[in-house]
Amino acid sequence: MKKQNSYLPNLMILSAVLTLAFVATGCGVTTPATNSDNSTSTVSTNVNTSTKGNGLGNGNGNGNGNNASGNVKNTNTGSSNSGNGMMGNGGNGNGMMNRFAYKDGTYSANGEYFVEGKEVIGVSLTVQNDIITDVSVTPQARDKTSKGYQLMFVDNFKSQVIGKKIADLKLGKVSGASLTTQGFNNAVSIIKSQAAL
Amino acid sequence: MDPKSLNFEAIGTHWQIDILDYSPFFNEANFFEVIKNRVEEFEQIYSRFRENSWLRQITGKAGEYYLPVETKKIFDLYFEFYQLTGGIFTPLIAETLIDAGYDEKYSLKAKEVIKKPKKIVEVLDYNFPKLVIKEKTILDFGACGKGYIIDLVAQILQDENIFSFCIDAGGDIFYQNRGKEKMPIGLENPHDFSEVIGVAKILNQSICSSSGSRRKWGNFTHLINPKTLESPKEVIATWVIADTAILADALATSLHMVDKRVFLEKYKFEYVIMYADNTVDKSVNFPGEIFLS
Repeated sequence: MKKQNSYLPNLMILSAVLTLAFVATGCGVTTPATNSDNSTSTVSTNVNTSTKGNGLGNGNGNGNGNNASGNVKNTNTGSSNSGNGMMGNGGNGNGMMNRFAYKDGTYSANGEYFVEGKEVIGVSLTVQNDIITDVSVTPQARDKTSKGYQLMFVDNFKSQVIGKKIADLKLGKVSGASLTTQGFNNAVSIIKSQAAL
Repeated sequence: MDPKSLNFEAIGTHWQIDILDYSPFFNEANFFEVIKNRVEEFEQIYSRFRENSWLRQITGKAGEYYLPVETKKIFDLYFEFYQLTGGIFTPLIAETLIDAGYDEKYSLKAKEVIKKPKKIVEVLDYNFPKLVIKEKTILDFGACGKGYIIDLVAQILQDENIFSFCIDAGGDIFYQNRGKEKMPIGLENPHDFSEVIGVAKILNQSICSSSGSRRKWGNFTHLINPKTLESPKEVIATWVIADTAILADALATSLHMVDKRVFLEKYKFEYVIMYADNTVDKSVNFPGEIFLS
């Protein structure tokens, strides 16, 4: 899981994640979406800017002029073109023809921003065939309020769920509503048989 | 050692209690009788579906009562959640549910006028052990009653020096294992009961679920928001893991109607919330996996 990869410019990583987060936030059902909190609006600002830049790693000045600088530090080792404003071609600098823009792997980065001091949010994503297949965000804020906002931010990642057949899995138990009030079920069958429902 | 299992029907659902370790002196038949009696007694005390239950009797007219010790936990929780949720979590939802058709006969026919529940101070004055019933009422403990009886049964097992067991009351579960082995628990897909949408792994914890998927009639489910008098539609299923089943059950119910942030600071729990558009929201440290497309 923690396979590190240095091909992607780091800002792109965060951009992609934040873009995803923004999209997810936009379609959330119980999204807090308050503009009054610093960290949330910070995130949105970065997303907008970097989306315009097509996510191609030219994110040097992202978020400047806001209370967060959008600085991203690389947790990868030996990174070649991190955040240097190159049109990074997804890091394929080797001239090889490649069907995919991004190399498969899991990428991690820490994002920093300032709210009365530096705060950090950790982001990790997995890319497979140019598709982000997994995203995780680790709140690292020191300030209690910031931590709360980061947690809210993390909470707003959402994806569609899919079902898997119970028979195909090794489960001890199933938690749900299927075994429910028999009185109720009986009543429903009676009413159904009377065609009143 | 083969587990010993007790299966029975009570409080309107199927129970399975698996005992995973026991002493050679374990008297199975005797012990299972004790458990069944305890669950039966619980229903006789709390059920609003029984005309002669103890609560129906005492709330049938104004009066003052001293409550038995075991009622403290559930009354405390109801009053605490009532405050926290601004009255959305209330035992006075009983009459609203009855108006909507969720009555002791399960008539499932809504009346033309559905009453909002009164404010709790108008009806009850609670200061354990004293309960003052100011006017005739009916109380509903459906939001966490099942969780509470699961905890009480777990206590009976522990008192009997049984430390590895699993209690499953219709999909609400408490699992304890001295051997530290986690149990994988499927999260039932509310759209298709042959499927799960994820797996939670629990140990010495409870997982409770709440969903209207099986108890639906007309526009209602067994959950009705006392403010809007409607059954919640955005959230279709919730799962909560907590140290006690009463808390897991109460939170699973609440998360259909109340934002999770109301509870996050106050209680230790993990959750999965599934919405009508099939998206999910899970807590940061949820111990398990959700299957995503």
